[in-house]
Amino acid sequence: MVDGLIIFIAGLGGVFLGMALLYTSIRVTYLITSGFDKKRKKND
Amino acid sequence: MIEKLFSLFKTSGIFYLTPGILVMWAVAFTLIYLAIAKDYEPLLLLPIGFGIILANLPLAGLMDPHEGLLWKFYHYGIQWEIIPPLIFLGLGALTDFGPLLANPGLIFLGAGAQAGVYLTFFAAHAIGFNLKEAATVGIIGGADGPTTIFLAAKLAPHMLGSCAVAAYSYMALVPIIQPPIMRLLTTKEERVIRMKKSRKVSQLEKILFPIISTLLIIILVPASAPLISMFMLGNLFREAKAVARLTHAAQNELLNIVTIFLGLPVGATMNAEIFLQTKVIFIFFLGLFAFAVSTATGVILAKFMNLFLKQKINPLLGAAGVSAVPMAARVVHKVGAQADKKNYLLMYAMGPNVAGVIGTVIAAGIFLTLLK
Amino acid sequence: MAQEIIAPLAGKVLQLNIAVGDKVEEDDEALVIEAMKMETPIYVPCDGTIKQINVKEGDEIEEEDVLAIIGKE
Repeated sequence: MVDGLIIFIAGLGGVFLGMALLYTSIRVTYLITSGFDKKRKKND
Repeated sequence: MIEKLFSLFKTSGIFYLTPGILVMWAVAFTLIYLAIAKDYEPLLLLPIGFGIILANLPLAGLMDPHEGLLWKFYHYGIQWEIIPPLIFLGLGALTDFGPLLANPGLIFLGAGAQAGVYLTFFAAHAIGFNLKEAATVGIIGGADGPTTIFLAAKLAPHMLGSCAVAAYSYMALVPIIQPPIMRLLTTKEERVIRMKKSRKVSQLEKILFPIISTLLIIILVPASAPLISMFMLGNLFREAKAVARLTHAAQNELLNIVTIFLGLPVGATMNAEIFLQTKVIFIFFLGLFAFAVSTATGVILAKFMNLFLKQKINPLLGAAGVSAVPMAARVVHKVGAQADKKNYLLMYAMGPNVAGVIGTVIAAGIFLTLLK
Repeated sequence: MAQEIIAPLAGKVLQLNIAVGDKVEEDDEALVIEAMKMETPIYVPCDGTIKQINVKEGDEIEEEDVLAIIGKE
């Protein structure tokens, strides 16, 4: 039962951690790529 | 002469038929019927149904270790972990992460629905399944066939057939299982919430996403590597647009071929001795429970997020975190349209839907790491 | 005064229920598109007359394409 609880918490925590990492990476990628776009437009 | 005739008669299978075998034939005919007449996941349930018949033919020995044809498909395809990752390669090539990248906040709904996986795991363990079996039952709630098969082959091969059949049959029943739960947990005012128009996603973002997410997810949960790597490779093929031939092959020929070799051996694992146990009833019951709970936790998480968000999201989207792609997203759209026919939730729902696939793979990876 | 019928999502035009010159009412089903293998109706946003149609059956459309223009009375 205790094992089950540990896996429950570690598992769900891990899934949310994974999603938080992906979320951050998407936001960062967006900021960087949209920054590039702006620079390019300025140079044009 | 008559004796010889008699011995020929004895080498035929008819003397070896048992009631269990006949029951399995009935199960197989039911699945084949559902696949053909009711269109329930026919691409999988049809070969699975036929595989069940083949596994329950006395003396045919198609599943005899090292000898039988289906045993070879099973051993080299599934036990060697080749077929589920190849399916993921095809699915990756079919997946558009655009809606997810446009609304990255919805990614958490894909995690929220995984709570159903873990609650079911806990419930299954509590009623007497061991930890490995409970994990395999729980992952049914992720509504992801290849992942269920992948995990079952490693943790509880004796339950592979029944868990796969439960996962695929409930996936076909998503339009029946989900809507009552979604309506129960939301008010009419919540269901008519319209989503903010999504931003445009650049091609560069779409190319970078599979690469970055492969790095992040596999570093976090190495055991998810076989599935995630193939999924993201397929997606990179798609978004790179430089290898249209490979994308096309992964989406069509390859995916179709491996689908044939996935269903058949999965069905073949279900012989009467293994399948006909009281545990199987619990697997089907818990699988249904898992789908229902995943739907509910997704919706509840969406409502919880609304407490903090200025721009409210439609909580129905939480139900799309159940990764049955694209059935769950379609269900969200339909339930939303019933409340407001000019509310088009389909594309927004695809975001949590594909996030749910990733979430289920991570969940499976964590089970593997902790239990293998 | 004119108002546009905008595509709410990308897909394929399956069925076109309007023609130029038709009198339409708000919430009439203007066309049916297919997206993710699901049929989705698109409704007329206001009362008026159809002035222009930019798509035909079988066309692939993108999100936010202008599908038709309605002249309001």
